[in-house]
Amino acid sequence: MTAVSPPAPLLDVRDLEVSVGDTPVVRSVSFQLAPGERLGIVGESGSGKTLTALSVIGLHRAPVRVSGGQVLLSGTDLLTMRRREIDKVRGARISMIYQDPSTSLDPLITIGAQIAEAIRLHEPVSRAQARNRAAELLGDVGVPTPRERLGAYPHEFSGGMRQRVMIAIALACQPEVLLCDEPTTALDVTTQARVLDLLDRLCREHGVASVLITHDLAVASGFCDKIAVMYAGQMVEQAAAADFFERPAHPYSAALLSASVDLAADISQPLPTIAGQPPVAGSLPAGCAFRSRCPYADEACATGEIELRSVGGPGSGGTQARCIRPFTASTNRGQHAARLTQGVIDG
Amino acid sequence: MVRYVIRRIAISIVLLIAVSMLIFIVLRALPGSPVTARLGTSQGVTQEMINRLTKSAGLDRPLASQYLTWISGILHGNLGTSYFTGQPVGSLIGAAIGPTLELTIIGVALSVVIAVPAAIASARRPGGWLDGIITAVSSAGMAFPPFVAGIVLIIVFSVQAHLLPARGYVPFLTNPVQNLRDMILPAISLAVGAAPLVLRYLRNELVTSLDSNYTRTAAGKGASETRVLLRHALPNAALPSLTMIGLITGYTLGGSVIVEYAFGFSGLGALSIQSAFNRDYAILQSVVLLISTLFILVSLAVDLMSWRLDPRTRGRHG
Amino acid sequence: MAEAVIAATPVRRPRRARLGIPPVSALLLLLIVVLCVCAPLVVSAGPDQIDPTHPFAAATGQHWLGTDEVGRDLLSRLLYGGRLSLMVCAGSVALAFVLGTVWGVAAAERGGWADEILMRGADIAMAIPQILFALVCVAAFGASLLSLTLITGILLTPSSARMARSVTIQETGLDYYSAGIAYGAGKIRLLSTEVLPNIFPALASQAAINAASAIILEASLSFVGLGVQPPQTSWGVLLQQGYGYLYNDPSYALSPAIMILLTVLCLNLVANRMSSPDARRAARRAARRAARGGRKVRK
Repeated sequence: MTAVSPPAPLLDVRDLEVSVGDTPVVRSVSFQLAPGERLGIVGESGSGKTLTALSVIGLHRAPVRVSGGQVLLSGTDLLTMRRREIDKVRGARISMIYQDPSTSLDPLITIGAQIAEAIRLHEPVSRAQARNRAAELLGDVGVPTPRERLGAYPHEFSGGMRQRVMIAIALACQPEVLLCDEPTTALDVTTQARVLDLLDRLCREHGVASVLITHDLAVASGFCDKIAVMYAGQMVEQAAAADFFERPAHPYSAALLSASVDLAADISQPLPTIAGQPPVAGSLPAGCAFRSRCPYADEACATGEIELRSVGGPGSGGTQARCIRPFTASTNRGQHAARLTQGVIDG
Repeated sequence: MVRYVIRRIAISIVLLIAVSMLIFIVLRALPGSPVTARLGTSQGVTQEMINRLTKSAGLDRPLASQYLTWISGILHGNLGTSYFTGQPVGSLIGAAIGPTLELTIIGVALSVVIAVPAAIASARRPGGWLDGIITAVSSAGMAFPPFVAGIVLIIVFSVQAHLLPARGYVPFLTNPVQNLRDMILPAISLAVGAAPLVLRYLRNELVTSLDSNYTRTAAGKGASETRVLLRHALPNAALPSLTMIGLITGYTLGGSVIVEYAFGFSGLGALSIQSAFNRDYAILQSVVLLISTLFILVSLAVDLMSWRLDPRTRGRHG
Repeated sequence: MAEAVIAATPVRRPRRARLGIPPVSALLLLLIVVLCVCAPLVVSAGPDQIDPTHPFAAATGQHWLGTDEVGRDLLSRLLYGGRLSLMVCAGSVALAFVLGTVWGVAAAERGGWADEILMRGADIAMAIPQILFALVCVAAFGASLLSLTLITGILLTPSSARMARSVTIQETGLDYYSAGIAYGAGKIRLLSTEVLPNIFPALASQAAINAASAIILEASLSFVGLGVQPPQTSWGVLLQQGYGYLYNDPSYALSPAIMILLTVLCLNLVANRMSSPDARRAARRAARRAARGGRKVRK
């Protein structure tokens, strides 16, 4: 029996390269998303996660520009579209929610009107119909007394509420893909949990595929099917979520996991961190970008392009890592934890 | 927040009173000058004549009482009589206010009409060639004092091209077409300097707006470039720019003084020049106070309007 | 003990604010000033030399800009007139600079009541359009070179004061100032040796703007006959005279107009550049940072 070839992915990003001026800040980023699937993109600040998402939906601004690659949404390359064409796609088939809800809503327009705008841009409904839909959506995202709240302005809402409004706007036309750029970073912890639950429920109900960008591995673990790790503008690992959290392949991923704060850990011990700093775009070392911070690097790591390759045999479930010596299924990671991270010296 | 409105109005009233005092004090700083300025160097002027005129004009009374007479006169509609001609000041001002108001309104409107599209064109591609040209022309325009612009315009359009009138003013009701033709060059002279002020400010606000997160959200919804600009960026940029309208009204009122003189308009500006020349304080103090009042009122109106239009300041809604 | 702690934690003094001057406009400005000051070296004919046989002569080798209605050399009148215009300008700007700086810095320093009063005073003065205020003053005090300079100087003072006040407040909010006070340095000393040099670019830029206003004000007053009085001449007087003969010889009025324009334009450009090279540098740095890292909430 021949294996059935997997269906074409809903979102297929191939070798995306994003530059500022002549300096590439995101390089050879590739990932795929099946309908309803959830990808988590994790990494430090400055690793290029946000720029990647913005470039996929075309919301990046000068001087950032896309210098290479393809973004295929159901086969059509979004990067080659003219503004008028992509306006039809944005909001209707692919949407985004942003990090900072307090500045992402127009302060002069009522939130009812802003939600209705999202609807009327793509569907030929009357004002009254759009208003009703907006009230429904507000209710769906958990805003109490939604009909009365339609006439309120963004500044009258709390941060968590504003993010719910953003979600309502993003999902108003039931897009196929939702990009979420650190949607809960600006919120307090309890609100974070609630907003994530909301996202989880709505995406499941409407079959929305999503890309969740976050620096918080705990958030990613609860939400995502697949994890992609970004470092210095490149993807250094991609794996199914379960595989990633149990058996990270790239030393950086392993270090990240070790460095995640464990509330049950011994507080007399210093917090684990990864020594060093990520390289600045434009002054990348040859070979692996992580080698200056990797305890296992050697001369072989310093030459040539390191490709993203599948990691070893069966049971590794499609994990890919950009490393010539990745951890495999059989590696005992516990031994390596201490080497990968070191405690902070003082305060 | 009616408190804000009341406070703002109260401040304006206090300001008005202070301005009237300032004008009054400066004019009366040197005692007796109107009379000596008028008669001083003529032959056959005796001290007795000077004294008589001084007394009849009420200039020998204590300053405070003269001031109060003036102010209470204003409140009762009596602005005194001209030192020079004896005509009631009120009727002189009443005749002169029309041209000035018309010119100011048209000048400000023209400035806005020029500035808004130019600011939009500039802000769409900041740093681009169009932005560069507009900014350069704008800076050049600001260097033109209104009456100098007027003279240049007269040379080009009246002297050389014989297209537009160089002088004269006809009331609108008498002859609307001629009135508007008379208005064109003076209004442009004022707009040359005033439009850049609005343009520069609005352009910068637009650039900030277009760069902000809410315009990104709008684009993310699928809004076209035009819609993002007109529905989201422009209102947010125009709101703080409203205060510029107040500013250019002041600029236009000041500029119109000389422009009226240069174009032969018999407006408040020409009246103030004439009365300054004649040291006719009775007219001058009231005219200057009137023009300052117009400025203060427009600033007040603009402030209240932007307060009202911004949902963040006007308090709870719905 | 305290000294040791203070010595151990050095407070970094911000780099001296530098003055940035655009070369072309500054050069042009200098040229204009030099030409007017050295007028006798440039033109042979005096400004009042009448030659009734050659009125409204076209530009010739002898009269580079032609002559006026009584045959006086226009270039000569332009340059000699420029002297007066520039003199009034310089005098009034200097006056406004001194008065305004003292006023503004004092208001910023005192704070509280004094600040309120001083600044409300500025508000009141600025509620009257400048030209009208000038008319009032000329009507009261007469028009002579001295009174013009004083009047213009006083008119320009409130804006200088406002600028001085706001930059002083900014500057004294910086750490090095509070550190200096804590260390025991006297306020006056700190202000004069540290703050003043740092706020100088902003004050200089305001002075350039004031200079442009002064030129315009003098021209306006003289144009309506309430400024420089004939037989003395200035750019405004020339404009007035030229205005009377627009149909005979448009270039008569054009030359003072162009001089005024060029001077004002250069002053505006110089003011722009001088205003704060630091602010512009900071803006450029922020733009580079934003481009490098995209939009980041943290840090």
